[in-house]
Amino acid sequence: MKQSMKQRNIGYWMAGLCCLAMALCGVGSASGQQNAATSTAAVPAVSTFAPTTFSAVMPGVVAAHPVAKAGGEEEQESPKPRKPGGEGVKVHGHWVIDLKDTDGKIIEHRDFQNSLVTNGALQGGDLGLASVISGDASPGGLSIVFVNVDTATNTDATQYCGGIITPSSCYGFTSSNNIITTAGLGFNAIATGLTSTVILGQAGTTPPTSSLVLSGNFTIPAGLNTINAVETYLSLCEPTGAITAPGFIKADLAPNACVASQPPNPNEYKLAYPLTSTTITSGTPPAVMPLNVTPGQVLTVTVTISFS
Amino acid sequence: MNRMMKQHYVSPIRLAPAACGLVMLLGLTTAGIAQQAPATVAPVAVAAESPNPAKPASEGIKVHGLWVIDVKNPDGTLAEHRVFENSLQDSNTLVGLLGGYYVAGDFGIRLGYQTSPSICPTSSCYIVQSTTTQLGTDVCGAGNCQLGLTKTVNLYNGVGAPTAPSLVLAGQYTALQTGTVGQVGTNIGRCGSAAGPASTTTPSACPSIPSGSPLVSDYLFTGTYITPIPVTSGQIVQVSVTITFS
Repeated sequence: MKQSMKQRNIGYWMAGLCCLAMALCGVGSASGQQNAATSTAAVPAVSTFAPTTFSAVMPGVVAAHPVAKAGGEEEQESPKPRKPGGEGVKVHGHWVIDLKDTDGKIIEHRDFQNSLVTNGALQGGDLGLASVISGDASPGGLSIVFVNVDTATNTDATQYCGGIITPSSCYGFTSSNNIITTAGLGFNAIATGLTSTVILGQAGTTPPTSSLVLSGNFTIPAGLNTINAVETYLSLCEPTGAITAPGFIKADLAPNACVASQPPNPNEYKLAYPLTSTTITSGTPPAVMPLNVTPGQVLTVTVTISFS
Repeated sequence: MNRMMKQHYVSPIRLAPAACGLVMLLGLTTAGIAQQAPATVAPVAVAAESPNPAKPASEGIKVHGLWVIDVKNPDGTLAEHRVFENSLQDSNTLVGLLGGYYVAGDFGIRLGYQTSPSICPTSSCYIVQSTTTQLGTDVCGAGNCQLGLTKTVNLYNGVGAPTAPSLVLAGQYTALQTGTVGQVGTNIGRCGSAAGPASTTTPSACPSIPSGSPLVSDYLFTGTYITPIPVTSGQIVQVSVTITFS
């Protein structure tokens, strides 16, 4: 207990430093959140269970989901469990990358799966999922990160972009309304233009029709010559009170405020965790094969995250 | 009290934001790019003690739901013990939560029947955190709910070897009538709109939004059918559900 208190006190002290640093660093980024909406046609799935119509679109985020039942947003009563004796729930991350030359010609095509980032020295996707599902944190958007790191000797994906592994470089690709909009710790540069599409389909069906799709065209910046690994990043907002108050505290910042609160809210921490990650592979069976790129080339990338 | 302290101590990201302050300050002095850093905080090392390396590539990610059910007689003796895994029932909720369309409200544990009767006056019996806030206001009625559901969030705090984050729901239900438990599930209340855009409701405020609001709903999050467990009136069904990710 004594040790716990000591550690907690250190935590308070460091939290104070964090607040100070956040205040010092965050002022200049206010403009990053004020962007025009990007609207795209949706591809709704048909549903008899999870209804609704939609039209609203947030900047950089496209909604797509099924049609609603009359009189309510979604059916209140839950269905019967669909699987007798299930084995677990899978979260899929499917990547499709086309590397294009400056004339638009496809030079290389890659298609591979990623995995959840877990058990690392730093916080990973498992923690992010648990935080969001439990209400401990509010989501602040998803991003893609292209990484150049020696993946053969560095297998902890939580450390790729924390400035811990050297040499390494991380280039972010995000939507304009993500809380990560400016190059900073762990990122050599961050480009905007990523579209995040939320597709809400029919609940209780197999295969799943719900997914998060991240897509866009990423222009290779100067300094990025090899991509060894890719990651998706989940941004979160978490109340500072969760540190000091006993027990469980739910997030007190809504998702829309999480992505929009610039300059930073002194009562909220803004965090970014690697949600999924994988080395760049090619072929069947997949073999590690880094992608060599040249500044000015364009990566057309699509990441589809789904659950089943 | 011990439990509260433990929950606090092992809680999430707690040390990460703190440690990040130090790293951010270091970044300010060592890297020009940090001058432009927003409030966003990259993940930070918190006692990196021989971690198990994250797999750089694999085929998918599993969200596990491990159920342990003990049926006890009124005298405390064990009548039945079951351990099994459940399945995701609603990928909409996960996608909507990650996408920011929804925020999570309270949870509930559902004990239902395959063949009537159940162990309560309705087809589905619930262990809930509250009957006066959502999701209790959505699913409770005719005496089918019992209080006492606890939710423990275990998130690696950076001390010692990394541990898998988990969400543990636990509680017990005293059978109001003789029946069976043949299907079980976790229900989650959620606030927001499937129409998007990002939810304007906070997770802390979500449970208090009145039932019937277009912005609230409850869903069967995970669940499964099981070989029906016979339960006689007065027996106690103790349930623990541990949700983890790998």
